[in-house]
Amino acid sequence: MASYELYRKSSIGVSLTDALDELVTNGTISPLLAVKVLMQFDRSMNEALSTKVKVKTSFKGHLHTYRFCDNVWTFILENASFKTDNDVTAVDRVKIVACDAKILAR
Amino acid sequence: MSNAKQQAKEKEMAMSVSNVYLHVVEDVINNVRTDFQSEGVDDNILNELQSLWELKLVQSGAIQEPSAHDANPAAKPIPQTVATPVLDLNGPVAAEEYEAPPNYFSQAPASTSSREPVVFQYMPPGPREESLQLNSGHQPASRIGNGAPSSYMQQPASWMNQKHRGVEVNMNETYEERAVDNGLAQGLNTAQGAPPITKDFLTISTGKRKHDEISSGNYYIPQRDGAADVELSTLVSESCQNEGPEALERWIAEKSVGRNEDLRLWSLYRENADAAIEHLIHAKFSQKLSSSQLDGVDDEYDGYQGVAEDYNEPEEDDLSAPEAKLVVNSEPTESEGSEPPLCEDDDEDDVDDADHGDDEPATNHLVLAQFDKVTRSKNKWKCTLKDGIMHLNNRDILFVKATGEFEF
Repeated sequence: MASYELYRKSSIGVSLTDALDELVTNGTISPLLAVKVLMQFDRSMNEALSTKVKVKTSFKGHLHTYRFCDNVWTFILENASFKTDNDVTAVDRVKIVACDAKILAR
Repeated sequence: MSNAKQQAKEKEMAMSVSNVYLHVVEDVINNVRTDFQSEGVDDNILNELQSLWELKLVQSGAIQEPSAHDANPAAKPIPQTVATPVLDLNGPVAAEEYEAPPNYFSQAPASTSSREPVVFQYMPPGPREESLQLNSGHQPASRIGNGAPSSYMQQPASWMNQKHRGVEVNMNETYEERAVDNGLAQGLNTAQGAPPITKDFLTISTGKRKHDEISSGNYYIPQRDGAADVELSTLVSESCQNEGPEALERWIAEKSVGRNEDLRLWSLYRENADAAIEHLIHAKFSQKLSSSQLDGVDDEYDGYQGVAEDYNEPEEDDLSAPEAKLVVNSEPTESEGSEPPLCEDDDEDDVDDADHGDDEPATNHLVLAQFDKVTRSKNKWKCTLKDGIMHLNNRDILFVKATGEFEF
């Protein structure tokens, strides 16, 4: 029932990891419990993204680096622009990490 | 008009991102409640986890939560006001906004009595240390100084902060603002006595002294690339990195801002020249000793090429045992002149960008998603992604579908 742990690197994931780290360091909770929380976070995050979000985006840029390893694509784009409904966000350098959406284990 | 609309829509989007995040938080907390209970952990701790999590989310700017925390309406003070209670509670201040420009530290020393953040009295170790870092990020003493915190901080803060200055530039500005807004008006003038000033001068003067001495060629650090050059003063600062983070910062700024090719190549040439000269000198000696080698010159060729290849690819062709001397002589001059770009630059670019870029650690634009399809045609790439989180320009954007086109 494991999901991708990819989203642990996002702001919300990092916040959760930090919070859990603190509690574990203080000895308030056990590391095992922290791991369980993170796994639950993976599931909840995956589910929320697929059900709660309605936004679509398109982007383009210059591909600086591409990597496909262990079924994970990693792109590094330069001078990229991301277009959402109302606005365009331009960045000079962005890293895109994408796992396979078709893996059923998700 | 359109601006207002855009802002309103952005707020909406931001609100909905916040909503999604909060929903996720609720979901996770509810689902782990049973886990917590089965482990025998109190519900209080679960609530503590939730509030801690939300606090960090707000601090990182991922959500704007007006209700759960005492945040000001203004965007900037959000981490500030949240951090105010944190400051008092000596709580953790993990993810601060990384906004401070490096020039915060390059202000002229004359502007404030201590270029470094104010030195405070010593604080007991532990969680206090973090607020130590916090407070020591403040600028002039006059702006800071509460009765309570001031009694905690001390000189050690200054060196600690010095260390942090080069790295955690960001924290300090926020702290400065916090201090200002906290209205800590009582000066720490008392605390800021001779010691910090001395320390301050010491840092600067030491750095300066090193610069002067090196440029005058009298210092013990040997310059191996010939006469001391004034232009190389920033490079030279590299060799006295340990002197002070200011020199280091300047060096980093130089490297990252303009990325003056000449300067970088200079350092490269110098290093290459040094190493190559050493190797060639060794080779010369070994050459003399091994003149009776039956294998002949080939081994040395290999040796040279193996060695020189690392440093001077274009000279590989010219390199041969008898010509080693020529190379030795011509090495310095060639390095000064028109050496073709060493391919090391290619790798160094990535390393530099990854490690030394000013913005890289702070606003590392990132997209985490799942891919449906990735195709390529010649150099045109197309991909379809789904269920992603984008972190761009310090903002979080979620999407359910994304299409990308890029050129390699």
